[in-house]
Amino acid sequence: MKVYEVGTQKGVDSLRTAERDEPKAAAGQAVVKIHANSLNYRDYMVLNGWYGGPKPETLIPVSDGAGEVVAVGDGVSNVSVGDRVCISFFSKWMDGPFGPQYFGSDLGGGADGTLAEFGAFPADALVKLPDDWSYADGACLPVAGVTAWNCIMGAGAYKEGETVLLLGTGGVSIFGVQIGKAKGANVLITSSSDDKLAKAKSLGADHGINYKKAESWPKAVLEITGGKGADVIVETGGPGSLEKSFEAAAFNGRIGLIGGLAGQAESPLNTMPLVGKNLSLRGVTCGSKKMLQDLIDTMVAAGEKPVIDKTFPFDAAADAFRHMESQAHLGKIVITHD
Amino acid sequence: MKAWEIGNQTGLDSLRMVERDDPIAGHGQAVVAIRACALNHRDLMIMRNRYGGPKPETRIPLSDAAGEVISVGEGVTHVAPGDRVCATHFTGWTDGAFDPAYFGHDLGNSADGLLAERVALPAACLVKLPDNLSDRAAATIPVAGATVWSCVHRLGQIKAGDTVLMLGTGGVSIYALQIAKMNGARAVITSSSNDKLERVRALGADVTINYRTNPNWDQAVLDEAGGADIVVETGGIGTLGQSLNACRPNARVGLIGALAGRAEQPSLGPLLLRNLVLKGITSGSRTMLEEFVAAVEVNGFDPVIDRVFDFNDARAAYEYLDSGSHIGKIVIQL
Repeated sequence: MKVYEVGTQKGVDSLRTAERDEPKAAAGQAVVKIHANSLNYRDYMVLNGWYGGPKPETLIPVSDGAGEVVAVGDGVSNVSVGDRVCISFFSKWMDGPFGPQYFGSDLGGGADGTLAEFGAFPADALVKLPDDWSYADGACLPVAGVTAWNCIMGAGAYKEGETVLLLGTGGVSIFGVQIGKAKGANVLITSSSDDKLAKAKSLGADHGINYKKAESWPKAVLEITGGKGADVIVETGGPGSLEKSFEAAAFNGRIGLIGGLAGQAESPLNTMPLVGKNLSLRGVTCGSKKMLQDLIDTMVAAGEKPVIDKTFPFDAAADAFRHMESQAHLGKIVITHD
Repeated sequence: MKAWEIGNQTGLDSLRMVERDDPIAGHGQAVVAIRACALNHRDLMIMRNRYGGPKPETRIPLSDAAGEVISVGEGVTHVAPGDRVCATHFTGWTDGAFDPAYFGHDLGNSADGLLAERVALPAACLVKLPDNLSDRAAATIPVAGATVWSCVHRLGQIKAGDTVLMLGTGGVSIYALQIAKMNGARAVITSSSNDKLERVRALGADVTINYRTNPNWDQAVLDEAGGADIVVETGGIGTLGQSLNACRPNARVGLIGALAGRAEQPSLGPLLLRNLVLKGITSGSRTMLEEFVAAVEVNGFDPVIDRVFDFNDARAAYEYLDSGSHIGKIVIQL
């Protein structure tokens, strides 16, 4: 079968293809014929050697995948051959709080990922797709959707009717719009593009803020909310953004800080607003399989499907990464195998 | 009656004693005869105009006290004359989440404080004291007690077997130590002084770390206690990076009040990788203070009172706090 490998991790050009034997299902495993992948910024970081230390050159990249179960090993009862599934990111984190033991099972980082024709995965990590969802739809959820879910719904962060703020229009933010909408939130989103803001509003955002045009986006958040600020912030903003999020937050606001992009402020961090406003800052590294299932159930009940920006064929995976590099996307970048 | 005022806030010399009319209980108010006051670090900051801008020179300082209700105004049912009480310094915060409006009624800061013979307070901010709590002991409770309760119980969700990390041996740390022990938790405390560490061991601290001789104290917390589940972060931004690194996964870190500020960027890596929660805490509500008082009524409470000063020597009490040689609380008695 054909797989991709991360190679020397010097950028998108390091991505290379290889031939491997098709995997077999060991006890507790299922073999999935991958039909679709979606990309996350983390996958791009791995290809550039920016995500922890360097990985083995033979690592199969990409976390998100969906496909059809084609074989199951001994002791597998939760899925059967023919099931349409997506694959939870931390394949051992079923439910409950995070644990460091789940690292190492993260697909496309600590363990082989999903950018291959087939993969053998712990059957416990598989979640069945709704009947009317395509594989492409299913491939969008495990990382970005679950991360947004954990930020907003995890640890009791969101209370009904509150203001949820998303920064930018990447995959996590767009899921944040959809989750916020499904849960009755006042949804605010920022972007440097009026076109993207219009698209986000058509997906359910109540207010869009152009952070290039606005004098200060935190002030704009305060104005829109009558001086109160945002109750829940999904902090995907990257360097220098966190202090602005403190400014945009309501008293007792909850900020979900997301791995990879956040917390890289170059200037000293002023934590006085964190104390004065009694804010809470929570580190979020994706989430559990239970969260993935809850997200799917919520989206189905709300009649929502993931927002796909552009689809690339499996043979053109590098082009999909280059599209991500261009930052032109809104929603998910998908690779299909059919 | 006699009261102290903060004067022009150019330093401790600005403190001045004045004569004022006895307060009268307005609607919803109670007049409290103060029996004992206690000092907090922010009281020093206010005297140096380092706490959110200058205050009126006639502001009465201090946020912590205990006393006796001597009269009540109309509509007061919550307390009656003869009750021994203490007060929450955010007098408007009775229950629920913090609200910015509470800053406008902050004893010793945005409103007259408690360093006076008598004060009129909103009755709703008063908490009745049990018999087994002396005036001196009770005077030390409100600010540190409500803060600790907010941090260790509300944020920390403490349970037996947890590890609680306290930084330094100030009032908040010592109260957190006592609440930690009441809850069957392992208490870890840092200090730069071996003498102070010996004293906190006598108070029940399980693991003590001298951060001067052991600058990698975060690693010591991980090595000797397996990491912290709850951190009472009173060190400010300068210690935050190490505090986060001293945590177990899913730990709760309470970043407390006045000592925080701007400094070098702490690494937020552990916050992400261990899914920590960092929350800012500015004291607590009356309900939290009531819960603290209920806990010490049942379990007993022997706050560490370093020294007691007479009302007329209030300035000396400030100077002693400023010297940093204390452990536990400094009390002014009336």
